[in-house]
Amino acid sequence: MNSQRNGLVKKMARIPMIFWGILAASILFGSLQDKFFLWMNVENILRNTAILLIVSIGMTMAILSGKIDLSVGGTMTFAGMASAVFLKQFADPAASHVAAALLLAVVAGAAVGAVNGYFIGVKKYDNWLISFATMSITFGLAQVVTGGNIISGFNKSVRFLGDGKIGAVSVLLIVAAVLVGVMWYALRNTRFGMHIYAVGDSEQCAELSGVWVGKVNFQIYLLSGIFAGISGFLLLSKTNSMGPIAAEGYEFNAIAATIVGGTSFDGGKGGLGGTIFGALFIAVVKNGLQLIGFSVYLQQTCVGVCILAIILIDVLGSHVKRKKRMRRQYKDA
Amino acid sequence: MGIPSKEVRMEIRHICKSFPGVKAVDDVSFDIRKGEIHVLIGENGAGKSTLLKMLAGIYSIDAGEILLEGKPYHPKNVIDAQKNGVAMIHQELNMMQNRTVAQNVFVGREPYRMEKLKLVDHRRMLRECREVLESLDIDLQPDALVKDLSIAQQQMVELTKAISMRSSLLIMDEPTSSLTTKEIDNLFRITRQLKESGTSVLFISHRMEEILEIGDRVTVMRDGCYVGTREVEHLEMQELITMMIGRSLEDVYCRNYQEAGREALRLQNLTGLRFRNVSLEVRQGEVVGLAGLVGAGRTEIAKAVFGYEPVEGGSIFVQGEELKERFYTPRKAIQKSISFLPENRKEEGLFLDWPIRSNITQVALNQISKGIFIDKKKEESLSDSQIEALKIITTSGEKKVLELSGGNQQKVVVAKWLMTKSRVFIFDEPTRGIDVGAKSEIYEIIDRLASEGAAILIISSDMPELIGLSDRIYTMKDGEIIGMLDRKKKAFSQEVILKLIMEGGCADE
Repeated sequence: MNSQRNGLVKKMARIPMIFWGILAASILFGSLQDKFFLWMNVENILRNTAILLIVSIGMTMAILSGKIDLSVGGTMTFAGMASAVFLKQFADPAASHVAAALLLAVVAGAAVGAVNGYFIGVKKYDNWLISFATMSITFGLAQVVTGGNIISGFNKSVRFLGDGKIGAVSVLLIVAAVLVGVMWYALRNTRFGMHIYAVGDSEQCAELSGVWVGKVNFQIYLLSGIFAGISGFLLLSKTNSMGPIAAEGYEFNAIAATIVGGTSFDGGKGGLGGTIFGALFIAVVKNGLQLIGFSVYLQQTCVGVCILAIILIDVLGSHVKRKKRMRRQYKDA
Repeated sequence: MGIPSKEVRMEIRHICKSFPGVKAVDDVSFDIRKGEIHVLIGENGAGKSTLLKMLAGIYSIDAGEILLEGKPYHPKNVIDAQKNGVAMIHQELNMMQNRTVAQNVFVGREPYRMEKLKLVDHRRMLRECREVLESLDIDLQPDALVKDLSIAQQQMVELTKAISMRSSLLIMDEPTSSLTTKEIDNLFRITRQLKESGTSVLFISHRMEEILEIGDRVTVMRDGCYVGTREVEHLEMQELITMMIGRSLEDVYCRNYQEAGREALRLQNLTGLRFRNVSLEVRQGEVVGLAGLVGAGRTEIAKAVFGYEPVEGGSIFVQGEELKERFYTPRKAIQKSISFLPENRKEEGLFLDWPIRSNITQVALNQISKGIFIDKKKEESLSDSQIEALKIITTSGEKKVLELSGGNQQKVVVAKWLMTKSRVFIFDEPTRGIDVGAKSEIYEIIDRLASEGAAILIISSDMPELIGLSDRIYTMKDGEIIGMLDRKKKAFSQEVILKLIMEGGCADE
């Protein structure tokens, strides 16, 4: 009986800190604003989370492997822009045109991802510098494609993925749930997933154990590019427009969602499950603050403060744990 | 050499390996038999680790050849070596701390549940890991996180990993250096079990008792060369010592002992994360050694004195004055005339990409500045005089430190700290990985500093070095000082060295 209870306590302790953060924030906003818990608002929060979450899949993989992908916002814009320009060739794009546009976005994203992957995985250049460069290149290319203009006004078939519904459920939510679900399972159950953790924990150990580190790194960035490409299309579909800075800031929000979700910059620690909560947390805080009448600028500040608070709690916690561990080892020795 | 009835597993023929400035392994030949425990022994810098790394596919071979089961064996990398049944356990454990035991054991060769989808079979991984652990009688859970394990347990995980690869030759680089007696017994039990099943084991050890207890044969290396191989059964201890040292200690270590002066550094009940109640003192003109196993807390004490490691209790006295700094940092330690020469010079001692000159003047910038500007001419003259005084071999002071040999790099570190005119010097492994010539030059510098009245604390795993240099030696175990030897009361000699090594606990090399 007692051990069962201990098991439960242990399980509770394993629930990431951020889950409690979401719960606390929801209760707070719910008590301040009745509208907060209306299905319409909840769906709104989820829809706001969806695209960020898809981008964050790639970011989570990159950070898990001890690296980062700064280029996702640029890649989103570039891929979305490519789709938008393509779709504007048709007066009334049919479903097949939309599928082609989505494919174009995926290919554009994969291309950027392959460039990142080549330099970071194969050439072993610094991941910050390379993805920083591709971020600039992609944002620039997006401007070149349209001459800096915003493209907007698409028909229903274009807007289906981002704005449509199947029954009562938003299509965007289904897409996000499927992608995140598959990747969540893959990270935990495939060799590729294992090797991302291995590389992040100790690249040297992974290499010495026969893991093809360069290939793993290449795949991470390729996938990250593909997810950014898909997100770019979804953003276009959801907002019914695409501008040269439409996805600016997504890289930072993706990093925030990943870190707040408990994935460590040290690499090898965390996972996609936490990122789901991380992305949700940011959306909840933004939405709640909006409902109680905070300005957009103040919302951004508050999100930043929350991130700082969560990281501080985490850092303090792991510091205490490390001290305990050192003492224990010392006692064993 | 070798008895015909014994089958040979690996034959090493005339292999050589050089690094810039050092010939690490020079024409070494010997063989390893099937199902034998072969011990490799030699002083620090004898080239043992380099040799092992060549066998395990980490270093390439410059010259010579290796035969494995009679066939030429030239591992391109670690994986290649593992495929040939050669696995190595490193001295510094290299593990994925946030992963489980099973994940560490099977990394890079995880079993599949569905080959097509490349889905990993977690259950099989746990089960197979448990089987290996049980077969070795190791009390570990396959799903425990590695970071929660002690060093000894982590080593067991490495061992499990090597064994689960069904290796025919297991190589261990100083596996016992950071283990307690009980843990060593456990390791030896498993090693014997492996031997019974026909696996060959090659390991480095520094403890005579271990060689006697477990070894079948022992091979001695010195200064990169092969000295000889002996059957442990017919082993003469005196002969082994002579083989290892190969020269009388007096030739290498010249000390001009003198009457010690006033107290320069004193620790009183100093306690930190990795050490407890440490009390010791170093007087002016005295060289004091700190002996102990790797992980005994020696480096941590040195860093605490230098303000680089947290202190939880006790006090530090410098020149008779207690340090009362609230935020004690290396910067303040330098102001108190303390110098610390760290054990890994490449990371903590030098800016590798900088020229020699800037490295030397790094801690003495106030001596070469005019206002906020650096006086380049003064920097040049001061650093050049150090380069000359310490015989640093280089074409110019502008050369990057990176391009120097290990011995010359270490001399740059020494030069850097000599600039500070410190009164207390702490040397942490001052001669690790440098050649014999540079070693004796470093010893000369240490002796000169002492005769000029500086107080010197030396941490070294090189037992002969510690004994050859020190006036007194403190011995440490598990973060505590357990004894103090004084040269004046009882002369240090080869017999004392032998006794220390044989009794263990005090020294690891």
